Amino acid sequence: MNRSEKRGELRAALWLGLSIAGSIAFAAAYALGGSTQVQGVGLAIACFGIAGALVTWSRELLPHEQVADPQHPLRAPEAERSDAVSRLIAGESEILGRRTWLIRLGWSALGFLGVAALFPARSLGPSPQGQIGTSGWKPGLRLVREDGSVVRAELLEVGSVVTAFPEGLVGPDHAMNMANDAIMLVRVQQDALRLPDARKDWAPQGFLAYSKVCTHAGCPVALYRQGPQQLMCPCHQSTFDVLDGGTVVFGPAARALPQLPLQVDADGTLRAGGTMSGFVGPDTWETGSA
Amino acid sequence: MIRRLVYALDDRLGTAPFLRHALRKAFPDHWSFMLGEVALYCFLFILASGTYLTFFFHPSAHHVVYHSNSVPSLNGRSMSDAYASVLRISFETRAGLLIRQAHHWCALVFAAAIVVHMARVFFTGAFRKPRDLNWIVGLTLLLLVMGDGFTGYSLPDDQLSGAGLRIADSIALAIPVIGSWFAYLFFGGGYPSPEITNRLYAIHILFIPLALGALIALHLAILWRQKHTQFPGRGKREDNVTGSPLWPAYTVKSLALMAATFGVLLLLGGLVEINPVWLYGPYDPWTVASPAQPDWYVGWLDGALRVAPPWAIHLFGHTISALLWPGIVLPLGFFGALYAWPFAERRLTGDRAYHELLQLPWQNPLRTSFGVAALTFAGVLLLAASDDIQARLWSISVQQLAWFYRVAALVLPPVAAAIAWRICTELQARHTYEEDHPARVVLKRGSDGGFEEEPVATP
Repeated sequence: MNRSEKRGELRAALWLGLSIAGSIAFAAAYALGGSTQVQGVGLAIACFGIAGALVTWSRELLPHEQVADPQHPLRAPEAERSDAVSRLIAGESEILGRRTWLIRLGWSALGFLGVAALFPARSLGPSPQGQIGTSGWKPGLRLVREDGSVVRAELLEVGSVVTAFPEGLVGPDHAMNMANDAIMLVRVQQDALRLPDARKDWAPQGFLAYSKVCTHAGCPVALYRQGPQQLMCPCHQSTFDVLDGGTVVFGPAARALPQLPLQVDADGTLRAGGTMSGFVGPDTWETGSA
Repeated sequence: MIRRLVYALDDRLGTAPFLRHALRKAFPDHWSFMLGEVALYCFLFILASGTYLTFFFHPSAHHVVYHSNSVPSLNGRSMSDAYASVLRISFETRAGLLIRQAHHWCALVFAAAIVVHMARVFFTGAFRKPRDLNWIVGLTLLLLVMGDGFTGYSLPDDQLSGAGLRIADSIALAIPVIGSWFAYLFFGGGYPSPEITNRLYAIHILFIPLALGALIALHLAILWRQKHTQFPGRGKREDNVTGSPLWPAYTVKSLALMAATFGVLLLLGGLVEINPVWLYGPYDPWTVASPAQPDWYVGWLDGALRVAPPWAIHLFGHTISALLWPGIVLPLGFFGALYAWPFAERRLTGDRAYHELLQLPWQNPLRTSFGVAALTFAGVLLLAASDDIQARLWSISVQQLAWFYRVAALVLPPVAAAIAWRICTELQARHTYEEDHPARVVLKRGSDGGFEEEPVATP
């Protein structure tokens, strides 16, 4: 054994020692409830030690031999290829022969089986018909917060915002309703409103309600920008005009946010004055017909 | 001992001749051939760490109340069992957080290793006949890894992943004609269905890992049968493949790479926080985390969703969602082009021959330009996916940034392709010149300051 080999052995041994130390450090950290960091570094050192030892081994202790394999196209001689094809065809005509009608029936049977096998897929979920694009908002329903408490006019100053739901449809059993029915209730200066004529009385005392489900990809339109009076979706930055009936100002959304007409009772209770003005949620094939 | 084992197997299966050859099989020494191995070792690591996590994770939307002081802000909160079990893995299971974080890091490194490996295969023309077959298998593996990554990312039922899942549901709804039915059957109802965590779990730990295992086996079997390509060089020809023998040289080298890969993943898992779901909080579908960015391999698609134009089409009382273009058409087109490239290149160049020697990127300007354009396009979209963070960082409006990325996604890929083309053809010209005009003399400067000419020995 020459000197460089000895040096290599020594180096590999040091690496392996380091690896053992890493394993012990990890085991100790685990047993004593040590931090994730110590555990991770311990195991990593155990691995790096082995890697270092193997690299040293490969570089300094193994012969650097080169081998060559022959490389040639894998294709078989033409005779063999064509024989394979003719056997396949011969077999095919043995099965098929002239029994055309039987073959057709065979394909039909397979087709029927395929369709029959699709039936259980129907059990995977309920029908979307009448579900998509609708919401739980009905005229007269009071606006409540996540915890069920009623939203009152005096709660909101001009320039503030709160997330609201229809009364009776909140709580752990109504997760799906809450995802779909959530609205952003915004209060603005009433004289700043630019609502279309048909919606003139939808925003009493400057209260406006828009669906919180983005018409683009369904994320909650959770950001209220008070300066430009916009609602913005944090997922893809679709931006909607609060004063102008939720129209799209910017971004990938193709459709305005549905608006909920509001009423304010004499005691300040906020109620839905109607149903949502449009299809709630992201576009789907049925949006146009809804 | 070894002798008895080899003999016993050979008695029954006749494996000795195979073994004899296999041990001397040549593996090229170039470093770029090890990128695919990093991916392979990531698969082993993710399988092992994931199996450990399955012992603790509850794939259930069932509501529980969390009682623990590990995360004081969440103590007493109602949340899904899935989210609560992830908190327990992170805080109450020893080594749980390490393994969870290493598992997540491994997913990111796994996808990255595949992409870099594919870039090597692409830009050197390794996918040409007969390896076009394995290109298809490999690309499918990338798609499966992306799918497994996204389903895994969605399992903890935290605020961030919930938003991601909502977007996935919206893209499913955007499929023309059958979108609503497809989304309702796949997710088990409207959003957020209590079925979804359970279904994603089955996909994440059963279907995709099985498919990955089978296709990786196929990928390696094809590789074994077709043998490696190699870079041109002294003694390297179309009809040979040279390198280190599998046993012992290459085995030692490869095991070192495996240990190093594991080491890096454990170091990341131990030291670099990833997906801190306790900061995002349990998922309430009417709230959202901001800013929200997905994992990198989904990021470019999220970027596409941000900068895509709002082109919804209304026809005969029906709607084609604007999400269709960035959410479905774009990924289908992108991956379709990658699947088709080996065959497209064959048609464009008329080169139908077998290729065992690799090309350098400059030797094929057409392919290199296409690859550079594709990478630039995906890169621009990936950057666009964090435009909200950049807007905050540089104090510019996110609208201006979105417009910048809209233009950049269309303009930069052709520009990058043109630059790549120019560089390739320049390099080609230089090589042709040097081949046509080999150096005849060497100019030498002597110690006295004078010059001397020496003829070059021509081989």
